[in-house]
Amino acid sequence: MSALTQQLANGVALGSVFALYALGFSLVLANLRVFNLAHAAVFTWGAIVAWRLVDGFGIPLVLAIPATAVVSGLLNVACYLLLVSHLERRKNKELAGFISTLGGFIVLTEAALLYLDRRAVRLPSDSFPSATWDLGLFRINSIQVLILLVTVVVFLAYRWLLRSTSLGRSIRTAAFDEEVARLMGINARGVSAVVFFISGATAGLGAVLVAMAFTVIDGKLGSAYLITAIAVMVIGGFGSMSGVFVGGILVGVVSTTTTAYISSSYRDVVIFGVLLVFLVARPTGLFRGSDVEERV
Amino acid sequence: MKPTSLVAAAAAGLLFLTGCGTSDGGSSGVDDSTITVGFLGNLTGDASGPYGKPFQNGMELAIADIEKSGVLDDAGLDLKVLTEDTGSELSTAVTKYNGFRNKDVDIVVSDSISTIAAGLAPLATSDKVPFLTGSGSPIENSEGYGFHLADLDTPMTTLGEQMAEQGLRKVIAVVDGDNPSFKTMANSFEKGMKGAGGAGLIDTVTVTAADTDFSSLMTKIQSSGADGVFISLLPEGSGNVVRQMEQYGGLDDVEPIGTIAWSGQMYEVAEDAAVGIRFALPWAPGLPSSAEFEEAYVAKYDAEPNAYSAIGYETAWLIAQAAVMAADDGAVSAEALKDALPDASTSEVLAERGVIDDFSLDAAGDPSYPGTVATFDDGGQIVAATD
Repeated sequence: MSALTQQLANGVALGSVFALYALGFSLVLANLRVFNLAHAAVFTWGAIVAWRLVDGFGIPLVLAIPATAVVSGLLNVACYLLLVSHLERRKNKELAGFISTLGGFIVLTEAALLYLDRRAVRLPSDSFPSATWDLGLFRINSIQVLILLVTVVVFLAYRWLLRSTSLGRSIRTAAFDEEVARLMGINARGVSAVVFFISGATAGLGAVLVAMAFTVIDGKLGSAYLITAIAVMVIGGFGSMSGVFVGGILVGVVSTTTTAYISSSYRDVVIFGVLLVFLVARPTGLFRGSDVEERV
Repeated sequence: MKPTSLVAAAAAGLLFLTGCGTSDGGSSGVDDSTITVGFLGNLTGDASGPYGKPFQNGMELAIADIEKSGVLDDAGLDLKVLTEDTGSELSTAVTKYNGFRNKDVDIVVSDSISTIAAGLAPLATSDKVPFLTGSGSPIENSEGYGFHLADLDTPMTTLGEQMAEQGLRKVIAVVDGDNPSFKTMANSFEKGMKGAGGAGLIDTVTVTAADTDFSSLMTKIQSSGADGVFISLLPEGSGNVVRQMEQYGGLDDVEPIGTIAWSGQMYEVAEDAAVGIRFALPWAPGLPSSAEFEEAYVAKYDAEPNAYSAIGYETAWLIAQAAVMAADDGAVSAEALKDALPDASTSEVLAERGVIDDFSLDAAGDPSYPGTVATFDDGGQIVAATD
């Protein structure tokens, strides 16, 4: 085992979290063309819900994780109904949606800060088993394994859902043209609500994993990952599921190796340096996401 | 005269009467027998948990003890504390300090945060008002008005010596790069290790206060072959590092070591992983000399005292004793108070009533005390390390 291979493994685990965060964000952006900033606050509330369920009500983490995903999904649907749905007929609905969800983000983030009394909380250390395995080239612990497994399962579930189900076809049709979807008898509003639910549930899953791995839950948890998620989407290619996945891993590896070999103070400088390089040299990102088939 | 002109004239008159200029540092805000302390506490914001609230609690506890003891009554004096919240921001601290100018405070106290102390000390010097801070970094003292009360060097050097004597040879340091005091503590720890024949620090990893993912740090610790990790971060960040060390696995032989900035908050975060970890404290926990302070603190605030609680407690007694000594010499003025502070720090009253053993403050504004090595027991109680 070398330090470099271990740092790369750490980076892949961290990048998986970035990918999960960005997958949900990208799903709404690519299909509904809504830059849903409230996603960051839903992520924060996902971690808080998990903490309340585990620490407050004594619910085992294995049950709290799906429950958190459902609650986060419903919270994101509420964001859609309150912040986005009534703007859909406006000419400048993208800008209006951005401003509206920015307001939602601020309200939900402040509510989280007040709820936590501006303190950081954490999941109890005995809420999940801690184990480490030596795989020769690197070691991996139980939380990193869980992060990787959840990310791969979510990625595969997204692919199956969007490509192989009637719901996926409805989502892709609505993404292609809302009017066409309506003419085909698709309830575009219902489809949008489902997209927001899936996006929020993914944020909730990511939030629990972050809370487990990094042992901190505070009112700005989601905000800390927002800009990184945008970088992931640009690097991976807007609208591309594979792009978000690979972009997340790449940013995670860059983040970890910068922290390890330079300093964490320069981590964001390096990540956004890479982002700038992509914007100049390959603005479409690693994977072109213009094809509706590829939309996440 | 129009009503608006009348209001403006009245406001101007009031401003004139209340005085907008700076204080000449000469007299008390109420009368000569009342010592007015302006406390600029970091009572909200990031510094509230580790510094502001514990310091304020320690001061409150001391003031109650001072009143009970009658030392001020015997000298015909009275102590009044005006408290303002800085929100852990320098700009707010300066604004609140300017408010104190209009109230003619005799002495200004701030809990900690080096940047706030560094920003306020020149103002206090210019106004000729004694300024006491719990900060560990030296501050402006060109005219003898600035005093900092946290001795980071001596206790951390002692801890470094002790760890080297107990066989630690290869120690890696993780340091909060946002606060110079944490670098100072790492340097002092290394000085102690080298003084006792150790190799010192084999590597220093600088992190930011906002960092939460320490996986790359864990890999560095493991690949360096270190037998100890010196964690020079705030208590919450330190708790995260210790907890992630346990999660990461394979680091059972690496001994974490903490700083004088640690508190019960570290145990709250790291839980059982914190048991047995050694760190420095200004006072000796569990010993008869400090038992009364600890019991009273826990009873009143339902929390363990930390270094800043002890420094807050010491500060209030220091001010009270300096006031008594200044009164004995003639009059309680800002200048008399600043002249009396060094002698007050080594007085019998401080030795008997204070909680920090062998505390002293010199005219250059620097503190000194040996400190002790402490640890967490199974229940999270802070106790003196026995070996």
